[in-house]
Amino acid sequence: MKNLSNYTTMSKAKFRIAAALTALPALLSAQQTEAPGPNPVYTNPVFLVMVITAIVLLFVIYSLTATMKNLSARKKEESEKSSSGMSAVLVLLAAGSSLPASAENLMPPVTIGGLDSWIVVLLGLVILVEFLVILVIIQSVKNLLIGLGLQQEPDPDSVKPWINWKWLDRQLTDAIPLDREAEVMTDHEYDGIRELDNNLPPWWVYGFYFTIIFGFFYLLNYHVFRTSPLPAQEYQEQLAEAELMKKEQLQKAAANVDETNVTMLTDAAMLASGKEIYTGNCAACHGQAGEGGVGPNLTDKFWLHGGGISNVFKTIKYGVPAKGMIAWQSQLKPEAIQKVASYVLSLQGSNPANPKEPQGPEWVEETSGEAAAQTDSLSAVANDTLSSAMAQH
Amino acid sequence: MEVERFEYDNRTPRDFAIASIVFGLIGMLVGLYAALELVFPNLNLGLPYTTFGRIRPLHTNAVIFAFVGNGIFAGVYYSLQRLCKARMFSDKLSRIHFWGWQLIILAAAITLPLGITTSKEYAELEWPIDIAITVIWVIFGWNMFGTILKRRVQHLYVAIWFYIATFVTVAVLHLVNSFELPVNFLKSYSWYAGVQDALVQWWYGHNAVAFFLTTPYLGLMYYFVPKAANRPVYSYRLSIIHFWALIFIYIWAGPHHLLYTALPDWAQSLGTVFSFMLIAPSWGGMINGLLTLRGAWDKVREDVVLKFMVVAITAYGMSTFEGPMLSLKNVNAIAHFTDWIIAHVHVGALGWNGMLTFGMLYWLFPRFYGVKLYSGKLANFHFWIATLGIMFYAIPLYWAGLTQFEMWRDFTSDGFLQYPNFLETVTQLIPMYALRSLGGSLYLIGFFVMIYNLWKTAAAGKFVAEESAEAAPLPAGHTPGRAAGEHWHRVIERRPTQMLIFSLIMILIGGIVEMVPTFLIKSNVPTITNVQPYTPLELQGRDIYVREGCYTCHSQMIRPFRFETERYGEYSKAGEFIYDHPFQWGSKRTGPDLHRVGGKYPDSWHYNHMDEPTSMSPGSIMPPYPWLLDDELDTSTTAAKIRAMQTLGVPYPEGYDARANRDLVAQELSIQANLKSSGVETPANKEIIAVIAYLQRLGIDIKGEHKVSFDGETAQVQP
Repeated sequence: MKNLSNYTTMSKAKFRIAAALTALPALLSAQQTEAPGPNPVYTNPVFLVMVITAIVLLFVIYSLTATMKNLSARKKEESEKSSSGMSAVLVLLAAGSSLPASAENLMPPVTIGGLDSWIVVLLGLVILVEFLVILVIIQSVKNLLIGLGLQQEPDPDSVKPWINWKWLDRQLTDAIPLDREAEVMTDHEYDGIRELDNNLPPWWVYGFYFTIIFGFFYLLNYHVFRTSPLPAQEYQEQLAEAELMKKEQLQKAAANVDETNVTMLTDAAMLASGKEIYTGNCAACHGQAGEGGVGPNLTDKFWLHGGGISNVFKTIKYGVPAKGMIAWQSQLKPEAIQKVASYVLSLQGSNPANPKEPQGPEWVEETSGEAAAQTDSLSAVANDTLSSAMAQH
Repeated sequence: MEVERFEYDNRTPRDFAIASIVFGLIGMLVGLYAALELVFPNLNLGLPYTTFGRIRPLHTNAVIFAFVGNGIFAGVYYSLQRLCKARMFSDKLSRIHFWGWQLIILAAAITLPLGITTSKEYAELEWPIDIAITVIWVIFGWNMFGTILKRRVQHLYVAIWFYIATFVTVAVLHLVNSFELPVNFLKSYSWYAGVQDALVQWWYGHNAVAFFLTTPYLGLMYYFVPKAANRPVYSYRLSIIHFWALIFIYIWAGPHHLLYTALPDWAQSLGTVFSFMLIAPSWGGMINGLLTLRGAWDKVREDVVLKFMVVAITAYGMSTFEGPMLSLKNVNAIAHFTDWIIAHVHVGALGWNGMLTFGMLYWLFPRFYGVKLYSGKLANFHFWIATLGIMFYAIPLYWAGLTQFEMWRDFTSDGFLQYPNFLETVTQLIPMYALRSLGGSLYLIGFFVMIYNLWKTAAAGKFVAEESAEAAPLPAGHTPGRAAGEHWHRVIERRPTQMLIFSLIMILIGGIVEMVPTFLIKSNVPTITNVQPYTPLELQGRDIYVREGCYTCHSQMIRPFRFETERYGEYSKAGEFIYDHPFQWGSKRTGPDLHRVGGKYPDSWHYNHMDEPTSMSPGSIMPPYPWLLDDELDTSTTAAKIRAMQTLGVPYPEGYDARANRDLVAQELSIQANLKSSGVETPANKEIIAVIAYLQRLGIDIKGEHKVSFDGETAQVQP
């Protein structure tokens, strides 16, 4: 009777854990739905395989512990050896469930097989722990069986171990066998510690020689024959390679937008994408609604470096280092600059709250010739450096 | 021969053991706190003393010098007496050593959160504490050598060779690396600058790992493993070869911390090849430890002390294999500046040092108190949860390191960085940081269980402070030379002074070959004419940067990779750092590199960013530094700092110290005005102004558009 009640409380606890595990995908998928993405996590094959493995292992643990309980009850003995392992799994699950909250961000996550890498690591660790727990339980079950006399204790001489240790020992160490140890025993004795004088393991000796020879060749390679590039040269090679790739890419890309041919976009989808770029990169200085902050107000008619799509494109692309405007050309593609410039210009006259005072001359859309003059003055400003700004003050 | 009766002093090793436990607990708790700050950036509770930048050095110093340090002394004081069959040379010296070391730790625990730091990793303590360390270390050596000289055993056991090498090398490392010029009681500048400072620092840093975390622990392994297993040491010849090879080769390996930096190429290559050679001597130690257990593996299954030791030696083997791999250029390019390195050192620290210490403590306490260990079950639990803790700690961080490197490096097909915003590569790692904290917590739970277990053990027994022993004294007179058929090394083992001198020679060679040319040959640090000294305000700002421990998260070293130069700008050149006392290259990028941050953002950006980082970089895990906006800059130190820099060779004009503060105020006012034009109103004499001045100066000299003159009325910054 006692045995039975033991069973039920046990299985309740196990079911709770199993429920927690099966709830995990739901939890994660809730997280996933917030982010735009066509594939919810619970349909991801990697995820499914890992979760199913984890659950299967959990059931193995469950049945093994049940067997063990049963056996130990027969032996009238407490032996809850698996509790430590289980609590570790529980801690893990608790940590796992709280993680998505802190992982919240707008950035595209790095994925493994389409899965957030941290989920893979977490599940991997869960599976690892489960394996360890199973090993521990199997050992305990074996011990119990032996204790109950249901299984013979293995005779160390008759058992063929998984790995032939004696053979491995001979191959790896070149050592005197244990029973002939006296042959290599020295007369040294320190506080009861004796010293053998076994041969050095051959692989170790040859490994040592190898590393020394490797060292010589390494130095010859880099500093005498100079067959491999040192860092500075390696860097130049990287740059050249990148230059080549860029050229190829440019030839492929038909629409190659720059400040001379850029046009204002009006398509709503393009502007929405421009807004996203704006929020991620520009809003910190120019305000969420373009009202200005560290940087100038973008919604009024006054422009420090010229209004109009071409000038705005150019200001974003090359920046105005003297005034703290970053050059974005290494971070944003030309199309992206076109989108965000168009979005910025779409804010004209939107009158947001807390506008920054106007800066620079009022911009009037003019004929092409005068616009060109404006751009020239802009490049002069762009060439200024921070130090000039400091000297001005 | 008449047998002499004497007592072993158990009090000193017991006290060191307790100190190791107490400070281990504190050090690990601080580590966990720092780890959690990366997940919850506001965990410093708005205090300057608890920011990551200030408590990370506290964590490293506490676990290295307090936890492991006291562990070394506990083991050495216990084993040395027994291996020499002699009581420690002087009880008084033992006491001074014990309390002196604890006071040094206390001083570290007070000064580091206050921001009193030299910023040289694992050597952050300021000069008065450095002197105290020197004195106490000499006392330790004196006491140890005195004991060795009055020993009753003719030959020195391999454990003692390692103790001797530890003593001489740590002394040399500490003296050379701590060479600094005091400005006042709590502030000093490193004697070396830039590339040279970096070389000395990482020669020290790497060999702190070698001669504080490795050689003394190998000594302890050679005593406690054969003792606990009751087996003879596997191979005497292996002991000899791996000992001498280890200490000779280790000392060269420092430059592998500086691969792809501005360190001269030849020094980098020496670092690589010697690190690679280091596999063999390191594994020699592992083999000798593990194979000592030949014929005793059945005991390992039963005896928890041996379990801890086996995992410790295995972790040692793993991290000493990983280390040489990380020293190869192409692997280092991936791992450097990422969490991979954090994972690597923790396999060594938690695995090798932690587990060996635990094994040793479980072995020592029952012997100190003359009882059996209170609970084998609890010790077993500790073993398993600590092993799990190491895995939970290391695996997520390995992953984080690889992930971040991939994100740093990725280019789109049209040649743009895939993740141009550094922050993206950080927020991605936060879940890994959370998992790592979980691993650390598991490890700490085990630690608490051990404390309880040892406490109960001690309570059940009675402390045996004086343990009686007897041995015959050594015959007086001449030490015999080599007898026929005797191994040549036995001769040195009879002569401790020779052992000490040979060790010293061995460890001096590598350091001299690498350092002397770097200091003396001019081509190693090519001059860049545009590079000029810092203005007084920038110098003050730099000292605040040092005080806040910015280097713990931000490097100032752009490596020559396209993915770095696209992100940060032109790669860093040796000649740019000639006035950097101390260098600030850093070793980890939790935040972006700052070497070329000068001129990248407006002053007001920095002002707002320091006040609340997330206002300028949403999602940032950097803590706010509002006190920089409130606290006034202490300009009373300016003159002394300029004079100190002049002594170190920085070419400020004669008598500039008297004019320095005038220039400082002028530059403050210009930054104040600049801020005002962006709508930020602030008094000019705040610390933030100095920090902005420093940050805006970083990495711009090389562009040649920036000139500073110290000769005129004011240090005019001209376009």
